[in-house]
Amino acid sequence: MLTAPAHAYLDPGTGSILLQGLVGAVAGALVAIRLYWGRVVAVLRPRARKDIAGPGPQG
Amino acid sequence: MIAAEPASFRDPSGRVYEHDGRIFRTVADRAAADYGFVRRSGALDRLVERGWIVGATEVDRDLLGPVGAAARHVVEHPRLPFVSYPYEWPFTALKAAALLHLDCQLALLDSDIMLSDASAYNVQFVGARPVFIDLLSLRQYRDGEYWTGYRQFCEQFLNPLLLRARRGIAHHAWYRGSPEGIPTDALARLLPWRDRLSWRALTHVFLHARLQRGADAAVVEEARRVQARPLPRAGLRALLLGLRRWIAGLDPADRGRTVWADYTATHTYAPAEEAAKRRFVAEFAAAVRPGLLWDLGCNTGAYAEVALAAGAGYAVGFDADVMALDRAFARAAAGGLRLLPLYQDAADPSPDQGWRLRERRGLARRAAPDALIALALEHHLAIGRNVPLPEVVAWLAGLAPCGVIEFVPKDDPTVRRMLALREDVFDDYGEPAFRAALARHARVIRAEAVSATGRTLFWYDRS
Repeated sequence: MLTAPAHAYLDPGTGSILLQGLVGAVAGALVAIRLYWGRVVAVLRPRARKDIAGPGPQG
Repeated sequence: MIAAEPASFRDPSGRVYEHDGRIFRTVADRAAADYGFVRRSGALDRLVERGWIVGATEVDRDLLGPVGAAARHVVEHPRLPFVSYPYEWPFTALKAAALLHLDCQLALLDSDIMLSDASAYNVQFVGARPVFIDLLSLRQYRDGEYWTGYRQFCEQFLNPLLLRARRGIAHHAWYRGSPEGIPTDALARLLPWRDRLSWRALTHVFLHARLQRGADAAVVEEARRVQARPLPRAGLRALLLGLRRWIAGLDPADRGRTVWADYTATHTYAPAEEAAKRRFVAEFAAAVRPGLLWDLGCNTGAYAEVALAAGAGYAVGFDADVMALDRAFARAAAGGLRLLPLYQDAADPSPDQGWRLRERRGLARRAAPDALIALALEHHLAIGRNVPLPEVVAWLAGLAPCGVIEFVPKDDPTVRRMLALREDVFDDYGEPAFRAALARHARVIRAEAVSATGRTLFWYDRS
């Protein structure tokens, strides 16, 4: 048990725990995806900058 | 022996005491470790500094005698000008309180502190500024823990806000009848079907309600299994931030006209008459300089603002029109006024309620006003609710030692409209009767007709 009963004078409710398990997982995944996406963008960025800078030597 | 504040029994971490007009909180042995952690973190001081959490100064335990000796610590809080409850707050105030709760929790989480509950009663107001008052809700965060207060947050903050934002129904009557808040299951039955298409409503309301339905052994076992898996801090943060974003964008669905919100634009006063009324209120407030002023029938708070500018220390406004209250709250917030507008039906004020009828104080058991103004209110009680005129006057004059009461005669267009479709059973209603009733309780310092139709302000004093 993560929550020491001594501290939890309030009953969190079974449904509320289940929902947090679900929403927390989805939200956590979204945060992870966002982080991951940030890395993907960081990798792609140099090329993206070049595109914005205008036509390359061949263009 | 000093008696504990009756509302502070729920959390065994400590209790609140009122002694010599000062407010103290004891910290019990069981809460000492968390309290020490919170103190050392510096987060408490930072949020007190920011005005988010009420000040808490450690004082000598001897101040509370045996009660202090039995506690590990005693802290003193500054006294709040007026205690109010979520079933009295305008929508905008409940929203501000919800955002404060989430902002506190988000800021505290960065210092590894968790709030042990999410009771709306842990927020109070100074003017339009919400302040978190329950020091002992702060305790050390344990990695991977779930948000214990989530269900309570939904019932006491989110659901009443959604009721108005999604359905245009004000929360006050329901919340007062159900002081623990609005059950998620009930809200799920009321929200339109299309709200299932919103991820937020789908999860926090519909799915949440669905998951609460089953509470047999198998479901409890499943919840225990889920609870044994850590909720990542990022997941908890995302949950809090998601709710914050959602609530920050909520507005009442009923944005149309109400009877009194448009009062200032359409009422029966000519500008000169309104100026006379303002002048009268300003002169009264400047002469009396009340520490606490009640404005009964405050509407959008214009006259309370006049009284504050003229010398009143703090004003609590009461009205039963929720849109007028939202505007009054906006006025207080925009001007940084020491004005707190609250929902109150003068014919049925907040009663004592909760455990042994002592947990939430009725209006009569809260800070008594030094003065009152009751403008354009008397006829709503005497004509609108059939309360005999002498009783209306006795009630008003009994509330505060001095004040300004407006009398509205039968010839006034408002009263005529009120009587248009009903029999006039008010044979004794008139200014002489009002004056005689008032004279039984107080001296009339000044009386001034402020409209051509005979509306008259009476400045009374019974000190």
